[in-house]
Amino acid sequence: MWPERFLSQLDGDEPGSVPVKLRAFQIIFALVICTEYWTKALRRWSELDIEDVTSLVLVTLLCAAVAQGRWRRAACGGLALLQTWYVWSEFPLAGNHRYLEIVIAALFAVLDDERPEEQRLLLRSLRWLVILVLFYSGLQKLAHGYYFRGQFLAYSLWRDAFRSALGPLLASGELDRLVSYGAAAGDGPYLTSSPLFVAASNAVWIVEMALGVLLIPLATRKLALISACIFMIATEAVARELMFGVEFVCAILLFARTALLRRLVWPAAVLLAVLVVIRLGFLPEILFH
Amino acid sequence: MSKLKQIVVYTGLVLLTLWPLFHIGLVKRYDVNAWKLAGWGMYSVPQIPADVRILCHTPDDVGTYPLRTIRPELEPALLEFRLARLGLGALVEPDRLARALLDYYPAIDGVSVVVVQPVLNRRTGMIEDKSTTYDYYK
Repeated sequence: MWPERFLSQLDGDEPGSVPVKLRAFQIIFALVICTEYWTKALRRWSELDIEDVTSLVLVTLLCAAVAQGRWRRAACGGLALLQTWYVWSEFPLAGNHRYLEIVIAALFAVLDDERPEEQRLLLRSLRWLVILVLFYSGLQKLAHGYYFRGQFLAYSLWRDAFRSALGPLLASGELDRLVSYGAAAGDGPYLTSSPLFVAASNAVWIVEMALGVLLIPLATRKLALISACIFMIATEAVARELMFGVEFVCAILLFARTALLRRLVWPAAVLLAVLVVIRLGFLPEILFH
Repeated sequence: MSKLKQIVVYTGLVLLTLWPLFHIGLVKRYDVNAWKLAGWGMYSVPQIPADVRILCHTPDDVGTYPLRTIRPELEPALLEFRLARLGLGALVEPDRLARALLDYYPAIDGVSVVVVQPVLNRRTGMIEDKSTTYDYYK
């Protein structure tokens, strides 16, 4: 089959590492989904309805089953259904990572990670999803044209995180001007005379598309993998989508030749637990989605 | 591995690969939200909610007047339209909202729903309003 031949370009793993990295990713993935539900629920604890409570109980049980391992495929099927319910109930405003989680959970449910042939297809599929997300994130920016002269980033300066990260690239007068607009008709121009700002804006879509492509050949994979992790961490420091960030960085690390991900299960679990503790109010609040 | 399983997985991956190209077309043609619907277009286009204005038409001398406040009974229909519009753009028309308005106000014989969508003009960098009017009559 031609898709099999095409996806075989994504191979290149140390012998014996595939099941280990798949299992590590599966656990982190389940923990991220569980944390998403809990942090969202804790933000509006007093307003929870029966649907919220049911989904919290379900997601906790399903994630525990994934972590325990014995019923992990069935539990992943349950997570896929739960996320489908979430997307349906929020439609059309559910975030893209929810769709990604449906697909990942469905792959873990459909493919048997104990059979070598299915293991290989599972890893190839997950890697292909990473490439799709990176490449199309860049292509969308290219297609809609709001990055060529920095228009989108100039518009986004009303957000604190964008202002902190991109403000130093602008003269103070220009930053004040851009921040003063209220996104109402007649506001603007959301254009800047800073070449650095425009260069940074264009670098975003170029890097995203390039990384998507460079993760494919073995010759460029290691460099692309490191660059993609740094890029994602930098991006999420601005966008503050921390749970997607953890999930996606770990998905990128599936490209590593070794089972590096195994060493990241506990650090990821601790980081996600910290996010829950922040939502519980025991640590100072930080902005994250 | 069964052939069926292979076909299911490969078909899914091919569809996921092609969908964003279609999604880009939907964003350009129908103002569908680039951030949503698994097109991976987060942070590619400013996401500005539209303003919804309602004009009522009467057959008598009052003629056409703007509905400045909406009754609590009609708020769910308005909210549903706003949210659907934010995600699906011009693929969604305010049919249910207009029907609810026409049913609620028996004295009016028509209603116009004006969707005012602020958009960032790529060339000028200015925010401009793009209005679309939907007319409904009894």
